[in-house]
Amino acid sequence: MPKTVLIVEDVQDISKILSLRLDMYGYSYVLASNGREGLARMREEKPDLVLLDIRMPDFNGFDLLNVMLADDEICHIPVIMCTASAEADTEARCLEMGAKFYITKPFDHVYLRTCIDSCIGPPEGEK
Amino acid sequence: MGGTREKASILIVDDNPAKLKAIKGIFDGMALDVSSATSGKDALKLILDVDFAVILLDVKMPGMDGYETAEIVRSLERTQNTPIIFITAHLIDETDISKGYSLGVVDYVTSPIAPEILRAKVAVFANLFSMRDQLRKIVESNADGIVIIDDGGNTCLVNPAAELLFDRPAASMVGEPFGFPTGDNVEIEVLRRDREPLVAEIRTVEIEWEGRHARLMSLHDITDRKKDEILLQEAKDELEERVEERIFELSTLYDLSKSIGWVVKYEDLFRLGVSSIGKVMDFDLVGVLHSTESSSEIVITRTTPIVDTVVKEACGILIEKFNTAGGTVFGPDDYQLHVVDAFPKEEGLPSSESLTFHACTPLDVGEKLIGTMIVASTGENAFTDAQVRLFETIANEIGSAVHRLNSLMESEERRTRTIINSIREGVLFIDTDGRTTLSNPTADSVLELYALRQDREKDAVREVVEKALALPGSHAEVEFETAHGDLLRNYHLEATTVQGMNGDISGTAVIIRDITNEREMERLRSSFLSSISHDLRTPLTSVKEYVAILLDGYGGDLSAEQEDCLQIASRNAERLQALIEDLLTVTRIEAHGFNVSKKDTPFSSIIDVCIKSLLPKARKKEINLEAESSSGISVYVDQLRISQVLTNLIDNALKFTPEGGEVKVKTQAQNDYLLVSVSDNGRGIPKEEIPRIFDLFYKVSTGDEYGAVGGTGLGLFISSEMVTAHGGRIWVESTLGEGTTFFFTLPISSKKAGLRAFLSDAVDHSLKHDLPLSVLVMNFEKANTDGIMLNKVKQNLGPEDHVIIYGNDLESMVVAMFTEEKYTKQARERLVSGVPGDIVNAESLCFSKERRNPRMVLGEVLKKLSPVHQKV
Repeated sequence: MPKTVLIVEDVQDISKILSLRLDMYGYSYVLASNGREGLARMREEKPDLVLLDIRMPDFNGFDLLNVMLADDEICHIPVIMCTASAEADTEARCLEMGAKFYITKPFDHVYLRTCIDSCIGPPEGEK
Repeated sequence: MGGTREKASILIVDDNPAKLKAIKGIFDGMALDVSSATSGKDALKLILDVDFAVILLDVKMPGMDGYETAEIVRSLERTQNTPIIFITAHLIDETDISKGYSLGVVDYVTSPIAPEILRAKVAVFANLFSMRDQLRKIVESNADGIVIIDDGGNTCLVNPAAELLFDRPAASMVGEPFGFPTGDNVEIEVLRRDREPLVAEIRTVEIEWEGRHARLMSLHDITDRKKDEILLQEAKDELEERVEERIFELSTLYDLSKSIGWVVKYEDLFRLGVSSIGKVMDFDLVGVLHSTESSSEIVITRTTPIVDTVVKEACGILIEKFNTAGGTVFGPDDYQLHVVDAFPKEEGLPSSESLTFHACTPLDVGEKLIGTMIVASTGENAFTDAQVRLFETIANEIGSAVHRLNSLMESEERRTRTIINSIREGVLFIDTDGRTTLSNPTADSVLELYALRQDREKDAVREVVEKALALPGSHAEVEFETAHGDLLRNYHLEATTVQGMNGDISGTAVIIRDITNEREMERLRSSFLSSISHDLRTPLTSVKEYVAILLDGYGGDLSAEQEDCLQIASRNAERLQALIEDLLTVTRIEAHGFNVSKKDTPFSSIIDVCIKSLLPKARKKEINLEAESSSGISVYVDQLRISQVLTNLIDNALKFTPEGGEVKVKTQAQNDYLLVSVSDNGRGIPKEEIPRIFDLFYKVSTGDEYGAVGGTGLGLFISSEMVTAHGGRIWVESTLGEGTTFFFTLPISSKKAGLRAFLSDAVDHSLKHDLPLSVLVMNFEKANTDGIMLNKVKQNLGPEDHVIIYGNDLESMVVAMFTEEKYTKQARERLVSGVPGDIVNAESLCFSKERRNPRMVLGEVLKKLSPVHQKV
């Protein structure tokens, strides 16, 4: 079984291109189009990695991160935060809260792959 | 010679009457009284009654002869100087002649007598006699005293005037020493029996007296003149004194009227009046009643510790005077009383129970009565009329000044009120007792609404006023938020202390500004920036990534034409991205400036990231991009910002360097700074463009030569701003056709330098915001680089502790806290119990304002770092 990545992203075009890339690299993926769905998927699927958009309506990336870090079941899952509305302190905030990486959109897919790799290693086998 | 003078007398003595007659005949026709005697005896009888000018004496006579007679004549005082001419019938021998001369005989005439000769000789003596007679008469009749003294200092002659002067008979003086100073223009004082002393002025002339040298002194009685002089001097002195007094009074009045023109406060005015009065008279109390339409006050200044009942008494007099002078009658208690004590506190007991003397005068200008003024004394000595008049003059001056001040105040207040009321901002003036003495409608309405809602406006106002009074800059700002209907409104309070004329703080001016719109604009701008970046980046991400995935072979192989088209799309998407990023950065800089979060960062890691990200671009252009690895030097920077700068410079170098060229990054430590250079061997920059190269939107004109360069004109501007924000410097050197080198400097963070910079910031912050400063120094068991320690510490400190943290080496951590010492200690307790096992020790240091200089703080902190950590 290839490692599973959960994509939490409200813009469909973006989640699609992310899934295409993951597919291309050989990972399997699960999609969630908002924060609450993302949390539910996380609890159901226990993915190996979460690609988490920050700016989402209602329940945003930070909210999700806070809840998951407090949940012993899923707090260990590495998270890569991803946003298009970067403000000066966003990166620091993400890393302080416990995210492993922080990527700004438009992202460089080479850098994205490097980050994924450094979190969970290649699609098959141990990290 | 005057014709009135008496004839001189001569005496002829001869025993022969025929001869006597003959000689007498010789003098017929001369103005002489000729007496004759026929014997020495008869002659002596005559000379007792008459002073003769000359005696013609026959030598040879029976009985008493000429010699004998001459001897007796000489022996008598009256005649001792009377010249004697001997008449002889024949030649006498030498012995007789000398015998005659020794007796004082002046001449000899022998018979037969030559009448002309005798007449001539007698005429000489007669003249001499009458001249002497004249002289004596002059001397005797002179009103001035005349005294003649000889060389031995003995008195020879004293005239009647002198007798009178000395109050002594001449006889008691002649022959005695004179006994007074002599000389010319000498004044002597003569003490006289039974009569007043007398002052005489002496003039002295040298004369011949009785054939000897002598001095004639005329003594002029100047006693009266002296008395007059003294009287005159006294009169003059008195006059001068009065003139001086008058001048002093005038100058007091002048000083008063001169300085009174500048006074703009009633109390200063009264103080000035009191001091002026004090210059011209001694008093115990001065009081002023000042009455305006709205209020009346009495200011009493007491210069001695008189009792309060006396003060009351003075108030009563002032009021009574005011009422009788036609003022609006008011009762005994319708005024405010201020008592000013102008005497040393320790000064003794009350001087008296009641006023013994006072002068009270109305203060009026034209028809208008504005008050009354009193000066009073409890002593015995009343004021002189002149002093009272002067007091009234001073009171007049004060009256006009008060009147002038009244109208000035009125117009000034009207003007101030008009201005203040028309100001859009709220304006308050709070006096030193915390009372609002002035406010405009804006302030009133804001505070009224605020008070209705929250009953907190006083708090906000009091807070800002207290802050302003406490701060050395005398200026403070506070913001508050309040609901206005359904709307939240933000207000900004700014307080500035106001100094009075004497330099003391007289109150605080508070300006209330509605900053709701500004806050709203800031919120809008911030959310606009955030959403515009999101809205631009999200579609761009799709464009970029879908093109990229096609180029990566998703969807099958591409034809050369298809790939070419997609490459163009990709390149332009990159450009669009760069443009958007730069624009957002510039917008952010212009809105807030930079938010730089500095940390110690090994510069090699920054270079590595930049080179790695740009290597593909360099390879594409076959440019040799290399970096001389820096020797592990760390810099105290915001890694993200500096990466952006370095990337931008390398990217530029790649753009402007032809294929096959070279781009090199070098670093070199220079004292506290790291010098970074990015050099290429490209086209170079024209000299005239170099000064403008870091300007906003500036683009170098040669850019397009290598095609597809298309910068935004923002990159170097942003780089320059960022380097400057780090305290560094950026510049460029370039030679056209040979290449360009960009240089910039960054602060090196030896641990100490980083710590110094951090502490210096903390000190600045605390001083700027007037906050306490304490520093918590923690040493950990082992280095902890995964960020967990930092998070743990942060969780245990929390935002309420007002902290900034330095310590990414994570063997130690230094926390600056801007709270009071006790809270710092509490925070330390929380840390020690909340992060157990990891903390070796945690100590808090407190820095009073005087000790708060970066060097001192650094020294203290370094001492608290464990020795292992200090070394690094």
